[in-house]
Amino acid sequence: MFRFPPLQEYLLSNGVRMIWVTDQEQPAISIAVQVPYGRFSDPKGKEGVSELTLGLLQKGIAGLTTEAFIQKFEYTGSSIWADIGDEHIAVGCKLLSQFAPSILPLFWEMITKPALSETELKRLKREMITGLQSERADPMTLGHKHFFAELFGNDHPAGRIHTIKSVKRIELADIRSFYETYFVPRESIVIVAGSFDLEFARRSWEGLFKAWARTSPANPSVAPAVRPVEKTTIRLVNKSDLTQVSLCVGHGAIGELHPDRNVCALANYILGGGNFSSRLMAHVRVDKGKTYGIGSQILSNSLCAAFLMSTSTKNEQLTDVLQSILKVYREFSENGVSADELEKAKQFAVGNLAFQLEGIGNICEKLLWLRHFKRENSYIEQFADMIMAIKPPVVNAAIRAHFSSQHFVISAVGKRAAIEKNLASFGDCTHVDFRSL
Amino acid sequence: MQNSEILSGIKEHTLSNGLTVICLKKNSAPIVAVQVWYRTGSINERDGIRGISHFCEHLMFRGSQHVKPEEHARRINDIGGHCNAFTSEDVTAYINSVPCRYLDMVLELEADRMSSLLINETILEVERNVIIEEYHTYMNNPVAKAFLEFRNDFFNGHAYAISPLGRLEDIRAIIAADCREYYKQWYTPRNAVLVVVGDIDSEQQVFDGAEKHFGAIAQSAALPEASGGGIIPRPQGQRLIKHKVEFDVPLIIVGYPAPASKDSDALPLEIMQLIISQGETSRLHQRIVRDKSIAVMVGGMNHCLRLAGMSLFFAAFTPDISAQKVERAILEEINIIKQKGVSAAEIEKIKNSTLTSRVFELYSAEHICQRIGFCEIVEGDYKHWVRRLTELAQLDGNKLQEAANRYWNEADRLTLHLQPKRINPAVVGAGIFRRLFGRFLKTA
Repeated sequence: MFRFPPLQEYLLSNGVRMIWVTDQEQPAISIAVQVPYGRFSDPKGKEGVSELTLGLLQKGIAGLTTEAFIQKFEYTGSSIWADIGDEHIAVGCKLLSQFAPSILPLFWEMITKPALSETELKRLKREMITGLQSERADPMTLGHKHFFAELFGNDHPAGRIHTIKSVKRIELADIRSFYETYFVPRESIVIVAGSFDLEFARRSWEGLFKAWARTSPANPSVAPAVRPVEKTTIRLVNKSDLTQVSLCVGHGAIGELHPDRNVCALANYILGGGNFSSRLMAHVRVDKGKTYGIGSQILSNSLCAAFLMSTSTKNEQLTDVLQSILKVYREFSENGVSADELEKAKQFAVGNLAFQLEGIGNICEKLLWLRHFKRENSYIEQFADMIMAIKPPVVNAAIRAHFSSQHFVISAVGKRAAIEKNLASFGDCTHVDFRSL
Repeated sequence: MQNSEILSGIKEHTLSNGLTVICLKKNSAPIVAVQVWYRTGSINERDGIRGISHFCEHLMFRGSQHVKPEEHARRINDIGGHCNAFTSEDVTAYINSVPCRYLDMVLELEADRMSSLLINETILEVERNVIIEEYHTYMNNPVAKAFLEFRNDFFNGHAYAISPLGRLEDIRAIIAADCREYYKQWYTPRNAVLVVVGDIDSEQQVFDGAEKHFGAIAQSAALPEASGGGIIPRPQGQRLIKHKVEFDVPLIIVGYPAPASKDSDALPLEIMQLIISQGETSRLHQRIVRDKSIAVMVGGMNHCLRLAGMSLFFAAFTPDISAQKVERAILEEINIIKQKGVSAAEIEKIKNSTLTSRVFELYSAEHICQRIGFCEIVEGDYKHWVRRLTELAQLDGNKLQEAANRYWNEADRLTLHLQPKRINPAVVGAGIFRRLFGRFLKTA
């Protein structure tokens, strides 16, 4: 059974959940701050605000130039990292313990008193737009974006993808408003992990975290589940120089808080999440050699989630590969999984936990994930027992309930002239240019 | 285990058949990383079989005497572990990470495919199709494709010119006998290093396990030294390549020769590269992105291989800026650093960032394993990796400047301009207006 290293956890008077993890393995510290708001909180038509806010935060504090601020981190070898999801934003810093007295207060000032300057915003917007243009070179990235846009639609936060147009509309007032509304102490989590003296750390730094005061928070950014797919729709993304087509095929799925979540994760491992142990890989790559990579995943937030199977193949093999994917899915839906397959999936889930908890970085990440979903450490400590207790009938019932869609959303990125006719035989097909997002 | 303790913690042993075994006990998590590194890669290929190293890497997962096709990966997955492999110019490496109680199982699997790989036509054909798909996945990315063409020109005439992906016509033509011959020549104990890092009981446990599973594999004859065609490549005079691609962001890549990875100039040139291009306080970022505002992103890297290398600088910019202007700005910074050298603060910065990276690297058994394997094979001795921090502490500004002057020479430069096929006139117009307007405001 896994046990977390020694940790102290409590609520500060301003609502911050404070977690201290002491681990003396290396002379290093990892600090992370997470708020329960992410891309879903972007204003409609200005998608990208959350990401730009996160970027702008890292450009300095009032009273210090951006150059001077960044210099203090880079010259001590300290690095700031950021992670943005649909329902959360996390910012952290990795540093050598010896630099903690100067770097931690500066990092904290960045969270609570960022400069948010107009000049830096202009620079960041250019950077983000160039990044979005660069993404168009990667067909699978395009495929994922169009899949989400098609599955969730423009009325759902998960379907609103940030685009060059939406980023251009964003102004400094939007950033300031996002920051003021969502970077608030209540419901936020602060973790300090690594090699430090706990008493010294609490005496020196806790006052900083306690002093973070702001107005009441907005409601956490949770979006509803998506409705079942009632008709197969295909979005063909035309990029005329491609010799391969990149496919995403899927439908909605259950969210992280659904009681069947772990059962579905095991089922997905067998269908397409388990690399060479999965049915999709065995059928489409190992037996037929029709692709380099194929897999399936459940991308989940609290309530809303998507299930998708993705692969790339030569244009002329499109029909064969798409038929194979649908055949594997339908056999899985109808016949479920065997006891042997389930046993292996359970062994993977349990055995893999050790890798997810190696080092303070991973431990921080796991604690943030647990607390975001209001879970205690016991969730991990009892994970193995929980997984091993799952039996085949339960998994097969979950497959019937959650993996038995008759219709799909499909995105296909490829050369329209070469693939449209074949694609149209699978459902209603519309086409867009690859620069359309 | 901290960096200063690592060297004394690493234990090495050579089996009678020539297999080198290196291990390090690290008990912070109940996992173990097991990697087998073979001293072969695309450097050992010739025309007609370009891509065979990568082909064999795929076949290594397709069954051996006691292991069915894909069973290796499945058995590793089924215990919660993960495995993978990669082929580069100089090495082919097989990577496994598993819960520590399965160490013996992984040693058995690796030994089986080192000694008795099965290569038959049916599996070869299926795998050929998979590799062709992988090839097209790279080639469908215009930037990746252009870079492959750039290296082809850079290393012209040398085996490094062709990437480990190989040539499509060769991949289509390789037959089972070619693979058997290649496997027989290069997949031998004498040509491999087994590296184990993680939660082991003792080093002896690893050496005994290696003896038990690999010990019976026959010793091979001495291998020829990889020459890559005999020439240490250097670009022939300053050259420029221009490509129009289906990509909306103009890019520039500037390349100079770099030393072989075990050359004494490799570390000083690496430090110079970091000073000039790493992070937002780097010289290129400060001058080109922030002060002059002519690029959106700049960066650089040294790609040091066993026999030679490339020192690369790159920038992405908007279509209203000319590639020549960005190129001139990059060259100007390179010249300044060559002439005036670096400051003590810049050296201190790189020392701190390198130390931080090392400290965080040491949390991961797999990373340590990978560093040891790479240094042992490509640099000739794993101790180089451990000692790098000490060597770094001894470097002074003069050594750095000398290295830059030895390698970043105009006569040896190769430049690539990637220009979007389709340029939106409105974007260019808006960019020019922005720049004129910005200048006007500044003047006012």
